[in-house]
This record gives sequence, C-alpha cells and structure tokens, in this order.
Amino acid sequence: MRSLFVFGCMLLLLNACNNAYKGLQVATAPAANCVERLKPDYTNILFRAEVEVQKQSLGGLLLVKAMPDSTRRVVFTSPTGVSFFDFAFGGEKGFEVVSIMAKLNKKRVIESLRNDFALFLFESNDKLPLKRKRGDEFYYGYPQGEKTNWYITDSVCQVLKRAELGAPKRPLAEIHWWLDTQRVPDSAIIQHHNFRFNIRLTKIAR
Amino acid sequence: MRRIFVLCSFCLLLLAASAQEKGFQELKEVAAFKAAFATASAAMKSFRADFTQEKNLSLLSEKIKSAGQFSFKKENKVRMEYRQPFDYLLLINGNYVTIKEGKKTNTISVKSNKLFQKINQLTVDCVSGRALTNGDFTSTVFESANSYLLQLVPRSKEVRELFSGIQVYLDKKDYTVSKINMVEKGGDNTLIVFSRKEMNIEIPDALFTAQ
Repeated sequence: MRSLFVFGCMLLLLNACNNAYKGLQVATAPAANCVERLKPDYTNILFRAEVEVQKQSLGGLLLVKAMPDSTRRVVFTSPTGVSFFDFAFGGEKGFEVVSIMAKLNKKRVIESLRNDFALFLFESNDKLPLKRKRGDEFYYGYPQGEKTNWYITDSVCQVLKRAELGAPKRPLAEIHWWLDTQRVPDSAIIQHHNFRFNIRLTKIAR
Repeated sequence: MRRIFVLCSFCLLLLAASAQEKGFQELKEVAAFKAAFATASAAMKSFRADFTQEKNLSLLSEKIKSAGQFSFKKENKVRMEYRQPFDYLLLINGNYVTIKEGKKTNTISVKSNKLFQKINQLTVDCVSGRALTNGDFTSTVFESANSYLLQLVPRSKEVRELFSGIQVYLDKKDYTVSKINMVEKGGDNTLIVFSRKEMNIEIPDALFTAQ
C-alpha cells in the first residue's frame, strides 16, 4: 500500500514537471495594453531567412509588409527569385494563402507556418488576454482553440522576452526577437520544440 | 455571326499586341536567325558577367534587389554567385546542383527531381544559346534595333507551376544574353540583367565545385 502511495506521488510529481504552464498565477498586468506597447514594428521589413527542417536547410528572403487594406503579407522567396509562399494575415479573411509552391501546399505545412507567423506578427490579439505571472515574468495569453499564443514580458512591461505557441501543458514553439530602438526587429528566431524546424531571420538593410 | 468574328479577331489582335513587347516585332526570318544563333553559340566556350536581379512583387509594389557574378563554361557548368543582399552560391555542374550559404553546403543530384532537371537545363540553355531547341518550351522570336527577344512558354506542368513565360533578350551584335525575365502565373516576375560581359575567357573548372 505504501509503495502504491509513493508511486502515485511520483506520477503526480512527474506530471507537474511535464506541465510547463503549471505554477502560473493569475495576475494583474503592470500596464494596460502591455503587449500592444511592446510588439515589434512590421511596417515593411526584408529579412534574410535561414530555415532548418530536420536535416535540410533552405535559405531565402522573407518580406513582411503592412498593406493599405490592413492585411500584412509574409512573402518567402528563394535568393534566385522562386516564390515559396505568400500569406496574408488580418483583414476580413483573417488569413489567406495568396500563393504557395506545389511542394509546400500541404495542410499541415500551411497550418504550422500560419501558427508560427501569426505568433510572430501578434495576430489575433484583439481580445483581452489571459494574464498570468511566474517569478518576474508576465504571461499574456491569447487562446487559439486548444493552443494559446503566449507573450512573455518582464514585470514592469519594459521588455518583450519571448513568445510561445503553447499546447495546454507545454510550449510547441518559441520566438525570440532582437529589436532596435524603433522596435523594428534586427533579428528573430522561431524554434520548434517537438521537431527540428527553426527559422532564423536577419533584417536586410535597404 | 460576323460581329462575333470581328470581336474575336480584335481580341486576338489585342492579345498578340500585349504579348509583344514595345519596340519589338516578330521576326520573319526565323530560320536565318536560328542558324546565326547556333553558329555564335557554338563559338562560345565560356561566358562571365556581372548581374543584377530584381524580383518584382506586383501586388505588393515591392522590388527585392540582388546582385552578383554569373559564370558559364561549356558544356554545362554554371556559377551564380550572389554578393548582395547576402552571399549565396549556386553551382550547376552536369547533373549536380550545389548551394552554398554561409558555412552550409548542399549538393543534390537533379536526376531524382524532374523539376530541378528542367530548371537546370533551362538555365544552361539560356546562356549557351540552346534555348530555342529546349523541347520543354514553345518559342517565338522578336527583334528590335539592338536586341532579339525569345519568348519561351513552358509546355510541362511542372515548369508552368513556377513560370507562365520566360523572356530571354540577346544582344544583336554577339548573340549573348543581356536580360532574362521570368514571369510567374500570378504576375510577379524576376528580371536578371547582365553587364560587363566577357566571352571565351579562361574560367577554372574548380570554380564550379564547392570549396
């Protein structure tokens, strides 16, 4: 009976260890519109993109541009000019595949890229976020079905530390930004935790 | 019925006019051109030029500019070295394509990929003067005072996925390629313009392998 109790405790402990979001406490945000204040400026930026998928790597140019119709376009091309994809975020449709190379035109690929870039662009943040705290980190959560887009800041809303695409118990992907003084990203990295899929972005001066 | 015929004829005329670039007229003596082009191509053993590349995203009113150096050596060696906006090297050597970016080098055999094979062949054909004999495209030849224009329309489904048409501009004086314009089905295009062209210079084979 005692060993069963110990085993049960161990299972509970393991479960707690596996839940990355356990221990987040409901909190009051240090500032109104904190995420809005800290989000990067994506008016018109060209990035050099280095994509690693499993053992393959793919280089190219990624353009992020805010359009007059309030959508934001994310266009990825090879250095030689071949278009990989062109996505539109926001606007009336919310999300649209403007074009995509036949080889990439698969539901799971599009869904994964959509989730990553929605998190990257701070899309779907029009509702009031969940507010949580752990140590000196504040978590602002925007539920997206079973997943949540978490934006993590310091305790006084001065620094955007990272963003996480979170499943109920663990982060699936994570984004780090390095912003200049105008909040324009100099570089960023999108990393996936469940498989090797990383996107490194470095701003190109134009 | 007559009206429909006139309307259709008018539409066809408009279509022909729009396909024909300003200043260019369809060439009548295609056979003579092909013969002269073949002779000039046969004499070209190597080709080197600087290039600028402009990817025009029409709906976004954006142009992405790149630049570098292009080298070709008969029969099928191509080196496309991008120096702006960042270093990127594309090598074609027979059936192998190598891409070098930073410290990473990837070499693939195009034998396993039909699309790569066709693009590989097209790249070589555009500079080596064999574009007109590439069976994957239908071609029409136009001329202006200083240039020939080869309008290539892809026949194969794989290439049509990428391009609706390719325009190759040749200098009339030496039949070397001066511009290549690749038009995508959505209307975007990539224009490559060659300058400082050199022909039949010594280019070491080692330049076409990743070092």
